Amino acid sequence: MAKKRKIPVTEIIVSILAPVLLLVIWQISAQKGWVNKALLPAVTRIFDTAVGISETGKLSGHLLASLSRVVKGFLAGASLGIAIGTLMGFSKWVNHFLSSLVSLLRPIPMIAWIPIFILWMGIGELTKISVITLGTFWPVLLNTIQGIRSVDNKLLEVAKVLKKKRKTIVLKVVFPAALPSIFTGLRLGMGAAWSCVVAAEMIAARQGIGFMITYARETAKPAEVFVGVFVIGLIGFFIDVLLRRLESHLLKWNTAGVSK
Amino acid sequence: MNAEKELSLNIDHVSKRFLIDGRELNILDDINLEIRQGEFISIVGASGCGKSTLLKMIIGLENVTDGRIVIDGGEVTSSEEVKIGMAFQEARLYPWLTVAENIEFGIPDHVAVADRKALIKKQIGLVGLKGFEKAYPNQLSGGMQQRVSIARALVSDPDILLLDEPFGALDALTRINMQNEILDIWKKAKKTMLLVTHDIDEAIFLSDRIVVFSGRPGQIRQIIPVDSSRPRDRSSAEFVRIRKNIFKEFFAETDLDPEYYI
Ligand SMILES: Nc1ncnc2c1ncn2[C@@H]1O[C@H](COP(=O)(O)OP(=O)(O)OP(=O)(O)O)[C@@H](O)[C@H]1O
Ligand SMILES: [Mg+2]
Repeated sequence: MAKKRKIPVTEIIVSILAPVLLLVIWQISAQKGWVNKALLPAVTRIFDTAVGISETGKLSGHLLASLSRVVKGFLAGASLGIAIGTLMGFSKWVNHFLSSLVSLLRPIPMIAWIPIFILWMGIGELTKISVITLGTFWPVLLNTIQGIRSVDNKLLEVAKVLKKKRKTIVLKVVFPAALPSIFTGLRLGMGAAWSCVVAAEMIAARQGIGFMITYARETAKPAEVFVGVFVIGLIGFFIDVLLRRLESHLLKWNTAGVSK
Repeated sequence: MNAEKELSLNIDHVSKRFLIDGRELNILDDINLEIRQGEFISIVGASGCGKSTLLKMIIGLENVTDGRIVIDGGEVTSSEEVKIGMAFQEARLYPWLTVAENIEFGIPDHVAVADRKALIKKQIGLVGLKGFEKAYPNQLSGGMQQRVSIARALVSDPDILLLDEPFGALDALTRINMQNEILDIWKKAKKTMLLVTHDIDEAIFLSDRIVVFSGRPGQIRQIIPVDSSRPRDRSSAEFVRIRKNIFKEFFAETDLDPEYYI
């Protein structure tokens, strides 16, 4: 895990070589007419489109709509996942009670839930946010349970020998031990939230990046389709970087040995 | 010696069996040991003979199979208030706490916040970790981690201190320093100490009595009193005589079964 490490210039160059090469080949193929422009518009054309719809505020409007859904759904799903995961991790009986239900429901793909949610809640905001909530919930739940279970018994013995109260043990031993795993869950959950919002918006929305992509395809604006797809990738990437930063800040002890 | 002192720890016909893969394995067999208050006892014995297991039973992390362990007149299982501290064989530090925070974890809850800083500072000085207060365990060497672990056990200020090979990971010089520190603490605070070690000189240097274990199942083979006054000269005739005596115990056993070693 690289943390505040000086990355050599050559390393940077090599690591961006592949995407740059792809873009160059793409651009040349489009300019020379080797590919159908309706299927694969030139990179420059996509870029112009991106600038165009940014200037009119169209892109940011869709983006904000998606982001606000992601934030709401993610917060709901993550809190639920951590809360129920903590209960299941600590209590044998809660775990027995819920684990078969979890194993039954979890393999259902999020796409399959969308029609059910639409059936129950119509095509309003609540449906989309619920899809995101559920998508976030699973990875956070599983990783929280796993984190709490993985606490080293030897460390618990130390606390027991020192006659620590249960509350202290939970706060100072179990929870910190589970935190790296919970963070993994949150990062996976954020990824899930982001794909859920796009899926939900493609099916039932009048705003949002997912809707923008579907609508652009229907109205034969291929460049706009690509802008949408790139934006999804970029935002997903930045959110992950942000979460990693937060993680290495909060979990200094986990990486401290490497950096200094 | 100290026959008039009160009993601190009574290990009374204690046996321990573990179930490994459905088979009962005899680990400790009929251990009897009466330890007086303020006594310094060392246990030496081959690897795997059950020394750590005995300490864990004393502190209540393992059950005794037969017999009983009585501390200050109360049975281990029923002792909420009795104060035994333990430095484990592995450092067992909390990786998310700094050196200072790990040591603070050893301080009992009732100690006032205002007094904690001074306690931590004192321990850090004692184990020679000044300047490392804010370091995390994974930034320390094995020996340094072990010293934090000892500091955490000391700061809890127990009446009985169990030390499971605490100086195993230290270099010769630091080891001798720590031995002197432990001796100092023992003299000042008059704690009952029970030390497991593989270092025979260390045992002779520190102990009132040395308990020699035989291997599998662990039994007390001999209890050797060391009566000379402290600090002890490691090259004195008495020291050498006892060292020879203990070596003899081990080699007698080694002849029987080459698998045992120390
Ligand atoms: N929880 C357990 N379950 C089963 N067997 C165990 C358990 N703990 C220890 N043992 C066994 O008990 C024996 C004694 O272990 P113990 O750790 O007490 O040895 P030791 O004398 O401290 O050895 P060393 O000097 O290497 O630390 C070993 O054979 C070990 O396999
Ligand atoms: Mg041991």
